[in-house]
Amino acid sequence: MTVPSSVEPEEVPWVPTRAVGRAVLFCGLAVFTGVLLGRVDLVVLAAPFAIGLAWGLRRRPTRPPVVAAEIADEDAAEGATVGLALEMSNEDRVPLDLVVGRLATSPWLEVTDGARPYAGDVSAAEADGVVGRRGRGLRPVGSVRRVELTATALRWGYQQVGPAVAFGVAGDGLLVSGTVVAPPLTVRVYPAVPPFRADQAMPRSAALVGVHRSRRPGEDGELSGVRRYGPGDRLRRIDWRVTLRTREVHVAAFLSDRDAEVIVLLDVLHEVGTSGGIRGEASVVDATVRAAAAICDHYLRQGDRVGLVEYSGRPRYLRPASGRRQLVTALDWLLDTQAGGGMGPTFGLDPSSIPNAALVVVLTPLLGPTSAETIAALARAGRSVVAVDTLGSLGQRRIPGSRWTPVAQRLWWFERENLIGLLHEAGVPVTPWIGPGSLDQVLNDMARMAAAGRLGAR
Amino acid sequence: MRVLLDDLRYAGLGLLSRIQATIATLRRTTGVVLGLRLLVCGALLAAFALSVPPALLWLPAAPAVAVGLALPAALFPRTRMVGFALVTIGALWLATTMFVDPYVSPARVLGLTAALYTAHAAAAFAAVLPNDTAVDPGAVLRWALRTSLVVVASVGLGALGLVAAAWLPQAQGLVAPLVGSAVAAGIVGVVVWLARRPGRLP
Repeated sequence: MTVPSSVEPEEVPWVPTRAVGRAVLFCGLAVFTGVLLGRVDLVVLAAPFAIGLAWGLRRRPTRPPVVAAEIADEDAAEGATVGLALEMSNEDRVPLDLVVGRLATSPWLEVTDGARPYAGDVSAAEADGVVGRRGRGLRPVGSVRRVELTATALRWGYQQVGPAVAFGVAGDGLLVSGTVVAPPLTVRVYPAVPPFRADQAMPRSAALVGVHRSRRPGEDGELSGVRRYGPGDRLRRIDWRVTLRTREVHVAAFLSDRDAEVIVLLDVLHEVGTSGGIRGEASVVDATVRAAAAICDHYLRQGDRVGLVEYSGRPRYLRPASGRRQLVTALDWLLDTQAGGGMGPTFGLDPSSIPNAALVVVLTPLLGPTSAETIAALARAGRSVVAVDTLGSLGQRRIPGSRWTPVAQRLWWFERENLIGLLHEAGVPVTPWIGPGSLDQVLNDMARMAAAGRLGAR
Repeated sequence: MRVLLDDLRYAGLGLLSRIQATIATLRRTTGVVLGLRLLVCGALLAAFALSVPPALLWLPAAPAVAVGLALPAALFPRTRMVGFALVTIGALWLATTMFVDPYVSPARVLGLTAALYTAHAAAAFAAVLPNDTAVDPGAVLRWALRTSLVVVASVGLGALGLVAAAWLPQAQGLVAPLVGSAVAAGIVGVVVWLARRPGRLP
C-alpha cells in the first residue's frame, strides 16, 4: 500500500539557500575590491564562485519532488518483520542533485539500521514523464529513488508508518525545495499469542454441541461408566461383558459434549509499568491484551463462543460468537484497547448483559475497589467468574522514594492481599497469569463446585 | 534546603539527559556527512595557511585563529559562519599582500582559490544534509566531479588571467579594473537574471 504526496508546485516553491547569498557576497566583495585596487588576484579568487553560481543556477527546477511511504503488508504480529519503503521521485525536467527523505515510524516499529534520512540524486523525468536516464558507470539512476527498509514490530496496536517527508536540492546546494509530505499509513500489529491451554471441563456449558465434556449424560461423548439397564436405554448400548459377569443387563453411560460461552473482561482502568514491547517487560495492559488474545485463540479454536468486554473509561463490548472470523474480529478489537487513565467507566457493568452459562474470565490487576466490586457483583449474580491477576511481578518492584515508601508499598500490598481474600470468600478464584494451564486448576475447582451446587439443590 | 537540593538534582539529570542525547546524535553521524564537514574544515585551514605568509603561520595566535575560523564553519555549515570565514580569509589575504609581503605567487593565489571554493561548495552540500543521513555514494561522487570541474575551470581561467596580466605589466593598472568591472557587471547581471526569471512549468 502506498500513498504519494500531492502538492501543487506553487505551494512548495524552490528557494535559494544561504550558499547563494554567500557566493554573491564573496564574489561581489572580491571583484569590486579587485577593481578598486587594481588586483587581478582578487578577481581570480572570485572566479570559481561566479562560475559555480552560473553553473548551478542555469537550470532551475519548478516542481517539488514526490515522496511516498509504502508498506508491504498491513497486518503483522508482534515480533514479525514489516517491509517498508520510502520512494522519492522527480517529476521535473531538471535533474535533482539530491532528494533528502525521511520516513517517520512509530517508536514500536524498530527500523533496521535506525530510522534516518536517506539522500540520493534523482534524474530528470523525460518528456513522457516515465523514464529517466542511467548514470554512467556508477549505478543505475532513474527518476525514482526507492529505499527499502525493514522494521520489527515491537508492540501490538495500530502502528503508524509515516508521514514521509522529503525535500529536493538542486544547483549543488544552491536551491532547495519546500518540504513535501506524504500521509502516514497504518500497520495493524496483532498481539503475540502466548502458549495457552485449558484442558479442564467448563463449569457450565451451553448447547449440545462442542468439544467440552459436560457433567450431563448424553450420547457419543466420553464414557462415564456402566450402569443397570433402564427403560429407554438403547439396546446397542448394552455392555455384554458386564452383563454376562453380573447376570444383569448393563449399559454403557456417556457424557454429552457441549460448547461453552466465554466472556473475557479486560480491566484496563489502570496502566502499571512501562511497556518494553515484545523484548522488554510487559505492562499491565500488555499482559491483559496478550492473555485475552491467548484465551480467545484457545477457546475459539475449540469451537466455543467468545465475547470481549473492555472495562475502562471507554467501555466496549464484542458480542460472543464462534469461528475463525470471530478470532480475527477479536484480535482487531483488542488493538483498540487503551488504559483508562484511572478514570471510572462511564457506566457500570450490568451482570444481566452477560449470559448465565458463560464463563467470565476477568483479566485484572486488582488495583482498585471498583474492579473488585464489579467482579463481586458478577459472582453474586450467579456468573462463573475467574479473576486472572495481570499485575505479575510489577507489584513487587521496589519504588524509589523516601524511607516511608517501602512501608507504604507494603501496606498497599496487604490491602491488595485482603482484596483477593475477599474475592475468594465471594467465590471468585484468583489466579496469576502464567500462560499454559493458568485456568486449569480454577476451572476444575469451579466445575466441582458447580456440580456440588446442583446436588445440594436437589 | 532539601527542595533546593532536589531541584539541583533534577536539573543535573536534565543536563545529563541533554548531553546523552547530543552524544547519541553525534554517534549517529554518517561517514559522508562527517567527510563533508572534515572537507570544509580542511579546506578552510588550507585556505588560511595559503592566505598568510609562511612567516606569520608560526605566530602563536595563528593556529587558534585558523581553528577558530574553520571549526565553527565545519560544525555549523547552515549558519553565517562559513561566509564569515571566507570573507575573513579573503581580507587576511588582502591585508598581508598589501602590508606584509606584497609578492603574490600564482601558485598561492590558485591554491587559495581552489581551497576557498571547495570549502564553500562542501559547506553548501553539507548544509542540506542532516547529520545522520545515509547518502548514496554515487550522488557524492557526482557532486565531487562537478565541483572539481568548476575548480579546474576556475584555476585554468585564473592562471590564464594571471599570465595575461603578467605579460602586460604596463597595462596592469588599467586592464584589471576594466576586466574586473566587466566581470562584476556580468556576474551581477547573470545572478539577477537567474534569480528573477519566472518559473516555467513543463
